[in-house]
Amino acid sequence: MEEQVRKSHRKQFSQMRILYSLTMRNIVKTKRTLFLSLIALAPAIITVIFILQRLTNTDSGTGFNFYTILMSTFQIRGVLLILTVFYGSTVFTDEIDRKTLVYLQGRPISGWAMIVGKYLPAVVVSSSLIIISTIICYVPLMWIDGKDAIFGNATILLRDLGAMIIGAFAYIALMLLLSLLFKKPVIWGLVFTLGWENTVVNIPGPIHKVTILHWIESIYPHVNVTNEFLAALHPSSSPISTSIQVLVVLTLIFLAVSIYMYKTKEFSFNE
Amino acid sequence: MSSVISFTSVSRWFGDVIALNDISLNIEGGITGLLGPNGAGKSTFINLVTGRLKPSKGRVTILGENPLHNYKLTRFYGFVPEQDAYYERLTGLEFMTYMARLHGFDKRGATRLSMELLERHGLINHQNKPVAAYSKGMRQRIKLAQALIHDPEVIFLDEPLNGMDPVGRAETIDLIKTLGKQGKTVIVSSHILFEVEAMTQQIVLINNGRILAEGQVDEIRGLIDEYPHNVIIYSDRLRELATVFVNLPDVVDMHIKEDQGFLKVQSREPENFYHTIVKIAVEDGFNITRIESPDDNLQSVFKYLVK
Repeated sequence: MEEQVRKSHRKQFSQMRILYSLTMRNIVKTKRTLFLSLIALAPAIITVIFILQRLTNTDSGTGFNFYTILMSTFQIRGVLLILTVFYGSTVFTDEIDRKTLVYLQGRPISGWAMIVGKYLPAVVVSSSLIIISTIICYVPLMWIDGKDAIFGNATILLRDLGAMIIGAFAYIALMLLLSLLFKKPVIWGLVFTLGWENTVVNIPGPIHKVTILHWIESIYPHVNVTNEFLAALHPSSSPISTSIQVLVVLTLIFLAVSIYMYKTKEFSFNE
Repeated sequence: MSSVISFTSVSRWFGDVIALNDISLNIEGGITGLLGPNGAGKSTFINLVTGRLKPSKGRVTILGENPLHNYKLTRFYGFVPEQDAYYERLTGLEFMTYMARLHGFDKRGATRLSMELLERHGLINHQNKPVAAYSKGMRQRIKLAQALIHDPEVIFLDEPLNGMDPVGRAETIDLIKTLGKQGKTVIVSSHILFEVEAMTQQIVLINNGRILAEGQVDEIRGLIDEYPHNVIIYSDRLRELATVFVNLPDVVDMHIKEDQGFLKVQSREPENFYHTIVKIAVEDGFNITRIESPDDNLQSVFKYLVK
């Protein structure tokens, strides 16, 4: 019996991998990815403008300081949110909108293999764009502070990337769930992330802890820098280990509810 | 022994709209045509039996099991959807291979099977073209091929001949008949009687969410004969013609439209009635300028029956 269960799990893991591959094929070379790549490149364009200004005016501040502001505002509160909203809320609904879900429903794919097989490509593509975008900003900004700054601040870069990737896992799981609950999930997602998250996270007191952004920013290395502007954006932070645990638990809850929704929802089109 | 497909007092409604109304039905092996006009409830029927919809009332089984969200059952059936929807960027071979691999075949086995099915469906020379570049007929054929990739016992085809050219149509009908001969249970939905008639003698007639009739085509045709058939006759001697027709036993109703120059007759035996018209035109010298039948083909006879 146990052997049968193991075999069944192995089979479903294999189904999940094939679905992952099929989904990757369908989301990488799309107009949406082209559009989101341009959004992901926006911080790089700002970086270029800063460097050009710095060439004429050396009082513009250090590259590291600018990188900190750029990451804390544009990258985490803009690019990360927009990418995760678009990929998370469309990765499954695309199958419904294009009416291709019927082919997947006709195959022996369990609920978890279906949801995880759709979820992971969205996480991988979003994270890849974030990693590329962040590195494109990091290298020239550290370069203008001196070559040593590139390697000297590498741990900051790695923590930035780590925090944003963990954030991508959580947000995409939430967006996937929203897409199973509501029509027009992109709009709901944008209202939630750019509205609720970006506003409530700035409110002092315990209320900002009801945002996902609070927990991501608590593992973000820039929150402790001495900058009045950034200090105002981060009323207080939680311990790193607690933050990671909260994000992992939230991700698992969102995924579990998504699997339940998929297993119980009717996706058929009425006559 | 239980039926391959069984509906027991099944109803399904969407808000105030009743899509299927208290249906009880057993379907055995072979080919069964699910015949009904658009909106009759055919797709709801197929969605219920493939577990995509939950019955509002009653019980549906396929191979003795409840199909609702039962992904393991998909190993035993294949489904050809009505929608013209595909993974457009994939080539024909890639699409088939993915579908095979999702059924648990390894890469090599999936490729081999896909090539075999593409060959059988006349798509082998287009295997490396993206599905987006396929013609309507080719798209229909690959949709059918993907449903057969795992050699299922039961196959559901929702309007499979839509958009096919005459050659593709004939080939698909032959293929469906072959599947029936191989002992598969095939459920074909269509709104065109002669298409279904070309595939099978076993028909389920469905309209407004109810099963009107089920059985052999001959039995259904017997039912058709119970319904009057309209014939419109144009002549300059309408009243005299009406006097002749009123004595015919198969004529059940008649209206003279003198201002429009025709006589509308309802007959229970249209074939006999047509013979009679020809006979009196020749023998009695009636000048009949035109004969029309609003339901002079099988499809409109069918529509007439389900009215």
